[in-house]
Amino acid sequence: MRTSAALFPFCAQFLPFVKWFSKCQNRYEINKLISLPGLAMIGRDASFSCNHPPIGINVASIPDVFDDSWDTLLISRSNDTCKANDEIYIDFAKKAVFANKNVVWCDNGQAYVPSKLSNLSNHGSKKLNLMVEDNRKIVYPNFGLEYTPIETPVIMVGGILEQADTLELTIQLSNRFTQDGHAVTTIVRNPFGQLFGFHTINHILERSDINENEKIVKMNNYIRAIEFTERPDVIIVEAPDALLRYSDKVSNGFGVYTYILSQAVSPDYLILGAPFELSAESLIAFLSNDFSYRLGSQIHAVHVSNIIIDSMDMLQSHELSFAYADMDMVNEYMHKNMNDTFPLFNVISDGIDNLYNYLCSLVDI
Amino acid sequence: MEKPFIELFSTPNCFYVFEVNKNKFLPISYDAYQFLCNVMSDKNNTDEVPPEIAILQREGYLSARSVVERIQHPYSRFINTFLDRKLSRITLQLTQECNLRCKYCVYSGDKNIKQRSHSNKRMSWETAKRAVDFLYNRTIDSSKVNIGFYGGEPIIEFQNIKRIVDYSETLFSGKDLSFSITTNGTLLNDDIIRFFDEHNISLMISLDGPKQINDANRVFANGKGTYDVVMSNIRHLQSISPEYAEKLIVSMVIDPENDFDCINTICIDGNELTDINISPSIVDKEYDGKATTFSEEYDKKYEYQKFLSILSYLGRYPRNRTSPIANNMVKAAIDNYNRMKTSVGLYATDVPSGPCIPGQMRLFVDVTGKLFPCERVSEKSSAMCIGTIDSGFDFEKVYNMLNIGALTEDKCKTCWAFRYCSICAKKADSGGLGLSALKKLASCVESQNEAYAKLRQYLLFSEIPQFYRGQVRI
Repeated sequence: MRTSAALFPFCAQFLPFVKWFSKCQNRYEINKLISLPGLAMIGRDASFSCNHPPIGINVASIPDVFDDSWDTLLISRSNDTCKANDEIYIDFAKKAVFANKNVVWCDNGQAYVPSKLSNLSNHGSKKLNLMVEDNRKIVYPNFGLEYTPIETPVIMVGGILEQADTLELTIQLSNRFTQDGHAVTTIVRNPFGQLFGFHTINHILERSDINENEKIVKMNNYIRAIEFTERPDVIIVEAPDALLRYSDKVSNGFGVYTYILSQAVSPDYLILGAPFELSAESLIAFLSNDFSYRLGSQIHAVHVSNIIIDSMDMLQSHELSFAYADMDMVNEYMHKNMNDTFPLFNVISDGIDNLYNYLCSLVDI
Repeated sequence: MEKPFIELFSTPNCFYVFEVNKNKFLPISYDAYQFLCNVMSDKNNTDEVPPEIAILQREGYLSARSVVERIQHPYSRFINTFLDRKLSRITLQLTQECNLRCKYCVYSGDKNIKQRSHSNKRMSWETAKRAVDFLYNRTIDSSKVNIGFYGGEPIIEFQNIKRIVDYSETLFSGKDLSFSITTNGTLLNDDIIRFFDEHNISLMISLDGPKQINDANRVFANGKGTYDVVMSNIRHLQSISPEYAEKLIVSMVIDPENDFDCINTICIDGNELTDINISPSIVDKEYDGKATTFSEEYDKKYEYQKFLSILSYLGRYPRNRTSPIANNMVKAAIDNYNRMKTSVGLYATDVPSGPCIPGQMRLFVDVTGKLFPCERVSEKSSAMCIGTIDSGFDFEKVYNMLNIGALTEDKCKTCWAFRYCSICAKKADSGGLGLSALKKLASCVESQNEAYAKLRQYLLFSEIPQFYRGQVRI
C-alpha cells in the first residue's frame, strides 16, 4: 500500500514527475501539490503550468495544506522556476515535521543539503529522510580509475532549451522501455528523480573543487559503476542543460554541462526537444551535423514542444524568455512539417508509442 | 536602370548603398554613388550602368522590388498566449491629481484636447486590487513581474501604495516581484523614503536640469519652481538612505530648444547630480499638436558631448568628464549597433520594427480600470483602449495595433526604413474610434529620419576598425 504524499514546491519543472508518479514508483501516492502563491497555479490543474492537457490534480496553497490527506512531504529544492530561498523550504519542512508528517528531502548530494536540515536529521528526527545520490549503493568493480567507454547503448535526451520537455521525454522513454521488460538505467537532472529510482550526476558535475577533466573521468567511473551494478539494456540520459548556446545575447549556459557529460558518456542516439517554431528540417539538419561532432551523435528524432520563444523580451532582458502555447498549435505545425529525415513526435499529446517504436528500429538491444 | 530598393549613405570616409531587402551595407565608389543618386532622384540619366553596379545586380543586389509580400507580425498567432500567460509589468495610474502644473505636461490645462487633464479622480483600493489580481492571473510564464505606480503624482496616494505593496508581496510570494515609481519628488518624506527603501521600490524622480532650466517648466500650481524642493529631498534621501539613494534614477525631460551645456552642468563637475543615474528623454509635444524643435545651440553642443562620450567608450577620454546625458544616448547607439550587426534581411511575410505586443510588456491601467498598451498613449482615445480589468483584453484591437504596419501595407512594404521603423500604434491615433492610416503616414518622415541617423551611427562604429584604428589604439 502506498504512502500518501504531498509535493512541495510544485512548479512547471515538476509536472512530468507528477504525471508519471504512480506509474514509475510504488512507494508513494501524491495526494497534494503545494505551490508558492506567486507562481499563479493555486486552484488550477497542475498541467496549466505548461499548458498541457489536464491531469486532474489541482494545486493547493500553503495555508491549506496540513490536513490528513497526506503523511509524507516530498520536497526538492533543486528547481529554477521558483524564486524561493532556502529559508522557505527549510521552514516548510520543519512545519511538516512539527505537524507529525514525514519529510523526504531530495538533493544533489550530501554537501548541498542546507545545514539546518542536516542538523534536524542528525539530531534523531526520524521524520526527516535525506535522499541524496551519493548515498546510493553503487558497486565499483576493480577496473581502476581510468576512463573507459560505456558499453550499453546510450540514448541522450536534450533540448534547444532545457524547458523543451526533456524530462517528460526521459521519463516516458524510461517507463516505456521498462514496460517492455528491458532493464533501464535513467539519469536525470532533477534530484527528485531519485524517487523514481533514477540517478543524478550533479554531485560530480557541479563540484567546484575539481577541474573539468577530473569531472569527466569521475562521471565516467560513476556511470560505469552504475552500469556494472544495474546491468541495464539501455541507459537514458537527460542532458543537464540546453544542448547549445541560444544566441550571443542569451547564452543559455552554452551547452557546457551537456558537452562535459557527453565526454563522460558518449551518446549513441540523440532525441532533441525543440520549440515547435524551431523544428524546421533545415535547422534540425544543421544542428544534427553540429551535435554529431560536438556531442558524438546526430539527431535521431525530434520531440516538438509547445514552447514559444519571447524574442522581444529577450532583446531587452538578455535572459531566456518563453511562454507555453496551446497544444493545438503544435499539432498544426507537425501536420504541416512532417519529414522523413528527422521524424517529428509529440509525446505530450500523442504519447510515447510512436517514438518508442521508431527508436526500437534503431537501438540495438 | 529601374530605381532600386535602396537608400544611399555617405560618410567622410566612404560611400554606401543600403540594400534594403538584404539589410546590408555595400561600400561603393564615388562614381557609383553619383550614378545611383541620379537614378534615385529620377534625373534623366543616359549614362551606362557602371560595371560596379552591374556586378552588384548580377549578384542579386539592387532589386527594384521589395521581397515583402505581406505584413504580419510573427507573434500574431500568439497574442492570446502572451496576454493570458506572460504579462510582466503593470503600471497603475493611482491618481489623476498632481501638485505640479508642469508646462509641457500632456495633462496640464485644457490646451490639449487629445489627452485627459488633471483631475481629482483616483484609483480606489478595490480597483487597484482587481488590477493586481488581473496581472497575477496572467503571469504564470513570466519569470519576473513589476508593478509600477504612476499618476498624476502617485505619492499623493501613498496609503494606497502601501496597501498595494503589502497585498502584492503576499500574492506574488515565490515570484521575482519588483516595484517602481515615477514621482515629481516634491512630496518625499522620511516615512515614504524608508518604506520605499524597505520594499526596494525603484525610484525615479523627475528633474529637468539646473534650476533655471527645471523651473522654467516644472512648477507648482502657484507657478513657483520645484528645483529647490526636489534637490532638498534628493539630498535628504542620500543622507538617510545612502545605499538606496545609489539606485535613484533622475528622469530628465530635455527641451532641445535650450542650450545643452546648460542642461548638462547639473550632472558633471561635482555638481548636484554627479554620480546619479540619469534617464534622459526629449520632450514629447505630439499631443499638443506641435513638433519638437532643436535649437542650433543644443545641436552643436550635444553633438560635441556625444563625440566626447564616444571617445570615452573607445578609451580615449576620461569617462568622468563626459556628460551622463550623452553617455546614455551613446550607450543606446552602441546597443543598436550590436543589434544591427545580427539583424537579418526582409522576408516575404514580415513586419516593420516598432510595435511590441500591446499590453504584454508595460500594461497601463487607468483610475477606472481601463487597459492601455502603455502610459504614453491618450487615455481619452477609444482606439488606444485595449480592454478593462473586468472584461479582459480586446484581442482584436491588440491584433490591429500589433499589425499596425498592415494599415499602410503598400507604403510600408516599399519603405527603405522597414527594418528600423519606430512607429507604433500611438502614431496612428487620431482620436477617432479606430486607427488612422493617414495619421500614421504623417509620422513616416520623422521615423525615416530617426532610422537614417541610427544607420549613420552604425556606419561610424563599423568604420572605426578600418579608418580610425591608429587614432583609437591605446
